[in-house]
Amino acid sequence: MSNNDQVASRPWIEARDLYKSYRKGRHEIAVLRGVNLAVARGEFVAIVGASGSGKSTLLHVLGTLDDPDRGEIWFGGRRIDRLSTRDKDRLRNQEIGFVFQFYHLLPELCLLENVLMPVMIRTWTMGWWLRRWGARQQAWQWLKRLGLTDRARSRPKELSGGEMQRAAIARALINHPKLLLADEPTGNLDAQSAQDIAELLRDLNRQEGLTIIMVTHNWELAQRADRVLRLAEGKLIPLLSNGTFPE
Amino acid sequence: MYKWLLAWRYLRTRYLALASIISVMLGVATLIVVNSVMAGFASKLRDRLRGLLSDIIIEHRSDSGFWGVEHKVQQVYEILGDCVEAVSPAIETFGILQYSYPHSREVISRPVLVIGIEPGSRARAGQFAQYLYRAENRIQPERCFEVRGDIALRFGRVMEYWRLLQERRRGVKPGFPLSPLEPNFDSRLGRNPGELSSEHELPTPEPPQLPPELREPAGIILGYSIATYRRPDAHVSDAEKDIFLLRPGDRVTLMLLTAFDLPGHDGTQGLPRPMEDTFAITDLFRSEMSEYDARLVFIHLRDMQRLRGMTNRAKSLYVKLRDYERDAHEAIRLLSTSEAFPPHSFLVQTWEERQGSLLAAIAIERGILNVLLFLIIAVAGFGILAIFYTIVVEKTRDIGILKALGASHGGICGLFLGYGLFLGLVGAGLGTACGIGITVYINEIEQLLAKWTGQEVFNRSVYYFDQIPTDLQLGMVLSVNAGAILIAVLASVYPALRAALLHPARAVRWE
Repeated sequence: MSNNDQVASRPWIEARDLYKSYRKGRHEIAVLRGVNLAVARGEFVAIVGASGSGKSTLLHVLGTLDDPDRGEIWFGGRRIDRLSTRDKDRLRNQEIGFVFQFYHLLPELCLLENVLMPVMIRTWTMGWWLRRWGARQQAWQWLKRLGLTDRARSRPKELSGGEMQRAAIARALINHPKLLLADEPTGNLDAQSAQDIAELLRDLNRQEGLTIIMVTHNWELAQRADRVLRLAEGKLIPLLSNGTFPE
Repeated sequence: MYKWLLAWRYLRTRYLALASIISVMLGVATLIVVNSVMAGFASKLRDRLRGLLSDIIIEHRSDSGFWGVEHKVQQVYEILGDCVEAVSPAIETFGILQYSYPHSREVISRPVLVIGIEPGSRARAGQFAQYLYRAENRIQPERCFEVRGDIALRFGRVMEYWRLLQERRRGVKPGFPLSPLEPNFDSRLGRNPGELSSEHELPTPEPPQLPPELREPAGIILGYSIATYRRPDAHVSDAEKDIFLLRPGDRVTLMLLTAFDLPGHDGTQGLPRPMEDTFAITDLFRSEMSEYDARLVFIHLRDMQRLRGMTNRAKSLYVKLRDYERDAHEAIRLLSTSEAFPPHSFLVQTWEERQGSLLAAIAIERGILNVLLFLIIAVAGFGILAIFYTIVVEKTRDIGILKALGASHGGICGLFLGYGLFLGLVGAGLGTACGIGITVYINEIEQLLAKWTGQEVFNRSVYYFDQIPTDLQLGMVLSVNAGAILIAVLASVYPALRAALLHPARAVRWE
């Protein structure tokens, strides 16, 4: 199914039998009920599903923002759901990039500072002053590649949705992560911007070999991925060869 | 790094935080102003208390004091050697002062504290001379009890007036004499000579025609508030704020009791007898401490000894040291252990021990006030806590984003602690500027307030200070700042911890 040559045979990211439920008042809602997922290195996987089906929860659990109730998550040969808080912080900072539906840029900072934020989090105050020049150059290159150079000093509220999402992608990639987790990246954008973002993700996957797991309910966008899965009733169902999901 | 950047940005963009800055600022400014003014008052008070006393006071426990004044003074010099600057004997007792104001025949009596002193040595042992009203006496304090010059002239007139008044009362001559103290006395004499008979003419003042016993009247120095009262409508800038009821040259009568425990004239241990004498006011004593200015009366030690039957006796010795800080402790030890001043008869104290309760009261008052004012900053601290909590709730999603980007618990905690630190720094900085400004210009501000409100804020009749005294101390300013900043940081601990412990996934989803 993959069209990337460098995809290794053993899975790069693997989720085994993930369970996650939420308590809402007296009711317990089981969101994930035995999710199994294996993603190879350099693969672009799309997960589709109705809203409320637990797509975002799955993404958060995969990205260590949330803990599963049961099950295991393996990332690059390492089990990550049992890591210490500090190691999870480091993992999110250096190996995983997040892109959200509502961009989630920090409103007090300009675009450049937002893009630099993961580098600032990574380094101590002194280290930052030493690395500042290099980091800025790098951020500048990303902004240039994404066509945002003339917006570098603008605050997020002065930008369009597409621009904000591109900046958010630049922020996710500034620390060279191995995995990008995208949560409805085009959910809040107009058709043209959504198209641009989809192209961008496809390019990043092809040119940089970036592993991408994307959650979306946009079928058109999902079809650009190497593989499409559907999350329904707490389980992942692969797409049949005829391009439909089993009922 | 991001902690400082974001804390700084929050400071500049969250206007809600201004409220906490203002509360810290007001607290710091109030503390600085109140402390400076209290320190100003306290140091002025200490100054006065010390100036009125001396460094060390040796007091005889008996009312009749000790015999051999010169000898005891000499002994102090011998015991303490080089570290003594001056020694001055004194007798203190209670008395009744009687006087009548010009134009009023009513005789007024009031209890006073009478101090018999040797003006020359007393001026060297303390700041007595500085508080005298007449400049010539400040320069030559040893002559402050002498009735001379214009004082003698006025006293002559006053006595003549009383003589005439008494003659009228006895019916020797009819009519009521014109008061010689009226400002236009002389001109009225000159303008209407026919109206006034010749006995109204003043006798030649030099030498005054006085009864023999009053040829050389004794001098007395009255507390400023005994002789004057403050004009109710007086303004700060008025040159003459006080109305003089008695002036140097006027006559007063002083009544004292002879010393207790002394053999009477008949050789038996007699009861004290009242004694009285007439004195000429030679000067006024103005220490700017209402308590003293309204109660103290000074006469010459010689006159005191004469009136109280205490020939060659004194009750206390005032000792001034060359270096109080260095020698006081040692001097007290030497004096207390010497045979010349046995502890069963003499009480040897430093001026601070003597005024201990008052100084302690000031210290306690200041301590309590500081606690209360720091509580105000603590209230501001709770304000910061509430505002920070609101900001943390408002920033929940941003905190989630930071966590998604890999920020640690410690980092998020540090961000809000840093924010609290910035708020504290800015608030304390502004408060310090305000506090110092108000302290430096407090008198101008007070005048402005008095002008706007029509009410005198600082009642000068209580203290007689024309300026509100202030004493701005660097240590105090620094500790107030440190306290305020600490409270601001402490107040941000709870919101910071809450922010740090937010669940990242829930925080990111926060709407």
